[in-house]
Amino acid sequence: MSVTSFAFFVFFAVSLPVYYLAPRRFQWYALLLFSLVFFLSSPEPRTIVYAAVSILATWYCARQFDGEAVKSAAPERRGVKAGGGFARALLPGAFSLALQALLLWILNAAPGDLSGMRPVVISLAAVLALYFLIPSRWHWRLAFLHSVVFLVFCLLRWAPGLKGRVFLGAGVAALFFAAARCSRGRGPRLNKKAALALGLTINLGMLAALKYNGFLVGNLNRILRLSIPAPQWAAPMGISFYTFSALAYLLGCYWGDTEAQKNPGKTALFIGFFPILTSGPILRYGETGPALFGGRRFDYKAVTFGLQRMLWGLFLKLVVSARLAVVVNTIYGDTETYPGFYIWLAAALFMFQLYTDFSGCMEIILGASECYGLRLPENFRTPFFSRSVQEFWQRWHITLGGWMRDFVLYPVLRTGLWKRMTKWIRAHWGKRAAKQIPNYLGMLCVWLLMGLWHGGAWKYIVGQGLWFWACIVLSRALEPLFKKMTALLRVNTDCFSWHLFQSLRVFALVALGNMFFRLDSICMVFRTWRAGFSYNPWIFFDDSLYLLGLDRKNFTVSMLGLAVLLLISALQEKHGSVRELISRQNLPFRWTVYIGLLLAVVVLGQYGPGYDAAAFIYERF
Amino acid sequence: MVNAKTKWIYAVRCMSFALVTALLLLYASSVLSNGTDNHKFLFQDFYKASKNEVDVVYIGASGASWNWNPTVAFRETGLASQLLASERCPADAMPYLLAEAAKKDPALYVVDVHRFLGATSGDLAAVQSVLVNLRWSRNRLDAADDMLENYSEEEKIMKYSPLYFFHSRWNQLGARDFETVPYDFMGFSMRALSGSGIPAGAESAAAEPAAPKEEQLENLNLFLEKCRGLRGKILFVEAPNDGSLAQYERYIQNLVTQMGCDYLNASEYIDEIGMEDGDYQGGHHLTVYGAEKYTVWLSQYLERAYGIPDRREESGFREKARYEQQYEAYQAYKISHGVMLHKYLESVASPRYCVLIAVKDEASSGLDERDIEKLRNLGFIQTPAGVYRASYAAAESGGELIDEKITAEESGESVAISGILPDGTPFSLESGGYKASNHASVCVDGKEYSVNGRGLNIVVYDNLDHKVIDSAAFDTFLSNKPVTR
Repeated sequence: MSVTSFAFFVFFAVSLPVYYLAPRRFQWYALLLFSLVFFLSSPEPRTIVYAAVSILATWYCARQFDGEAVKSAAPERRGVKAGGGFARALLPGAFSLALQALLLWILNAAPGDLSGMRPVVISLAAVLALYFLIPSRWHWRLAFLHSVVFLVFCLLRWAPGLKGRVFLGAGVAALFFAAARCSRGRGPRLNKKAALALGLTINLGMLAALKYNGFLVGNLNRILRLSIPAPQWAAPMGISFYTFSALAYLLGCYWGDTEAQKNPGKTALFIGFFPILTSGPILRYGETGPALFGGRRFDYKAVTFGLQRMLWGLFLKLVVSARLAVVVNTIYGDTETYPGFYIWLAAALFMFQLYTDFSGCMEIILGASECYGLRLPENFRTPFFSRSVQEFWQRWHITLGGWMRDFVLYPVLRTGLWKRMTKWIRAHWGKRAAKQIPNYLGMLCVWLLMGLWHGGAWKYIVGQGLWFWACIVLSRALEPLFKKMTALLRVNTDCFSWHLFQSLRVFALVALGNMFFRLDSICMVFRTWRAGFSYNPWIFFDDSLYLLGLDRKNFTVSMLGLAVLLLISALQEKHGSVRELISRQNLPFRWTVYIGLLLAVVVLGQYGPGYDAAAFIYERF
Repeated sequence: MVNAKTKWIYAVRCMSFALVTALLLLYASSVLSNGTDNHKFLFQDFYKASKNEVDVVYIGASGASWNWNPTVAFRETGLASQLLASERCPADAMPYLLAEAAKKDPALYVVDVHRFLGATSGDLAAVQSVLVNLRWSRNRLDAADDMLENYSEEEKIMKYSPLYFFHSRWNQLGARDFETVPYDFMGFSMRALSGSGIPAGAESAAAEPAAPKEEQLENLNLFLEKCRGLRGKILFVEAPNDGSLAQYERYIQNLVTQMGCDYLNASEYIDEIGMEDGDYQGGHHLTVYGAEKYTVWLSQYLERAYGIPDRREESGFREKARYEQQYEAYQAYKISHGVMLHKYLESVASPRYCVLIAVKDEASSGLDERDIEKLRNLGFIQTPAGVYRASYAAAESGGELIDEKITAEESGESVAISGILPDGTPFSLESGGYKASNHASVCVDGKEYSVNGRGLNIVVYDNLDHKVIDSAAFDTFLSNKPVTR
């Protein structure tokens, strides 16, 4: 379910009142249920199993760091007693069975035909038989295993179709129920490092296997001259986002910054909170977790502000981004027909397309969360006003940058290897080099990962990683030289024109880097750069721009949309929240703005048949 | 904490905002979702009519709105009728149109049989035409369920939100999306002003019955089921057509007559109707001229067979003025848009109009017997026929010749006429053939109206409204006689 789809808005319209009508201590259950439904609505509902495994692994490993809690709890208090608790051991299985029976009845699946039930009954009988054959300390494992078996069975038997989605959802619910029961029982204990290693391996392993398998197998084949076929596994939606949230939680628990969550359901809600599954942001447990689980009253301002934000996001995505995409796709689809200034136009428009697409999605997500009374971290802060590439990345995809800084850069700089390297450089090349080189190398690790995060291909590693690393390192290394030059040329560096020049310079550098993101390969990028050196400035004056897939009216709308975007960004940069600014105006003005925006989205939006409004560039990350 | 008063303010504000937004969205939807034709006005006309002032509802698709002219029916027989039809109306919309028609409680439902042989899927725009225009009711929702049955989940959204599909029409909006289209006259769609000859199979009423498709039959059965509960009578009709679907229509005829419904195949009566060349537009549509004949014939038949009352002289019939006004507008539009010379001359043959003709260059080569006959019917005696490159000028009023002058073949002389029209308006005509001044002039009340094109330059003057209503030049040098205005 995409956040721009009709289904999402129906879902949202239903879920919001349900959320506020629910008793406050049950509100988080409602959110968890919505997240489950949201996940099951994806084109590949079976991917929820991957997510469930990742969440359970994270929860389990994080629990191992919570040593005090585990130590203090006596086995009796924690649930299954030795040799007893037959019902407890069977509870997950019975729960699964009851759920299935209920669902079969509700869905009226093949009346009178119990063949669908047979495997479930057999599995329960097997559990019963096994129970008497195995030692009591294995009972929790048996219960857990039964839930997993049930889930896999659901996966294979009923994955496609609505019925399959419902069963799959029930399976995942049963698995979490089983996990919750087992958590009170005698689970195996791991030491901190082993638990961390297990958590990281499972999360990163699944990310690598599902998202980077093609890249890994392809490179392996190339290096070792093999021909292993790359598996075609469907990655769950937003796998990079929720995996990074899970890793942040796991590492936070490991370092003692965060207390481990005892309830696997709450862990699941934190990692799989439905709005973030589309395009993030990457959450930190300490900032968002408690807010997610605490109930809240209906807040008029939060809901109206949230809805306004969603509307603005829809405007960016459906009115601006969707139109810019047409022009960009036309030019990049045939760079031989569209050389010269067309290329640079496409590069510039792609910057705006990417921004309006990603930030539009983010506005919808943050707006929807705000309606539930949850303030998620911001991912953008008017990036086009940045004066350096480094600043740009502090304003663009902020949560990813912050994650990389906290969980990659700082840990890397703190490693023994880096410390030894710093010492060695200081001894051989001096203090200044010792200050800079290890830092640059640490940044290299970050940017390589940044590139890899964007996708399993070298073009991402070069374009989204090395390119920006080189820009930042060069700008830092040459900073003294630039300062001398500006002083020599008597350039006023504290005026609008200089700031504009700096922003345009950053825009150009980022646009060049983003060509790697948009085009198919590194070779293609170089070919396109070469094609960009044709001289054809007349295209801006002879109506050629209206032959790029958008007619005059649509092109004008896209340009007006960009103008509105820049105006709003400028207001935001100057005054902070534009919504606050508007809310202070008189009612007729406010309503005119809101209704105008709504009508612009409804009438001018590129959605419905023939458009792919549901697709977001960052959605499959 | 928010106090109770603030809560009320919030609630009222939210509701007002929702109301304003909803109204604006409804307006946007009504403007944007009418992509296919002018059905918005057809349906508006239908809903506008008072319940007890509709005697007949004619249901179908374009075959209905192109063939049945309510204004002509009222003018000729005093029959108060309404159309309920849309372009390419899906076959499965018919039962629901019938149910909608029943809301006016008419004495008779006339149902276009041809529509039952139409598509039940694959034409979303046609579904939209019906759904957008039907008023919100249980019937509309049922119609949506039925018509959208074979469409994708996304397309089914149209049931609630046509705007979802048609919002992208914003860049095609024109005056016709906001105002009544000029060619709509109480639902009658006057778009076919030129037509073809009588189709080959037009009289093939007798054919071996063959069953239509299963879904079409299912739909027909549903329709017949709905017919049972109606108070009015049902007449299934076949307008004059090319007979291409005769075998299926015979099957339907047998079926409906077995059910006790009436059936009328107008193709069997094309001589009685007076159908001729130029009255047909393709296989299942009539031109405006054919529609006029068919409407007159059918309305007389309905009056005879069903005793539908003549409402023309009925006191208290509120719709009368509207019918008359629309008829006047229809006539004016028909004349000002006529493209077939003989039909045009037929249209202006009325005591209401004066016809002024001046020839330029050459006007005889393309004139055929039909045209000459129509000119003679208007009162002209000589006509330019058979006099090559002659100068010719003539004026008549209501079939009475005012004056007429013609020169010899290829004469170098021009002719001129001047006089007074019946309402006292002065006029003057000048005509110069190819070898004369090669010029045509028609002045009415001192103002020049002639197109000054080759052939017959015709100016039509309305004696009642005291104004020129059309000026056209038919190039009768050419056999196809193209018209310039």
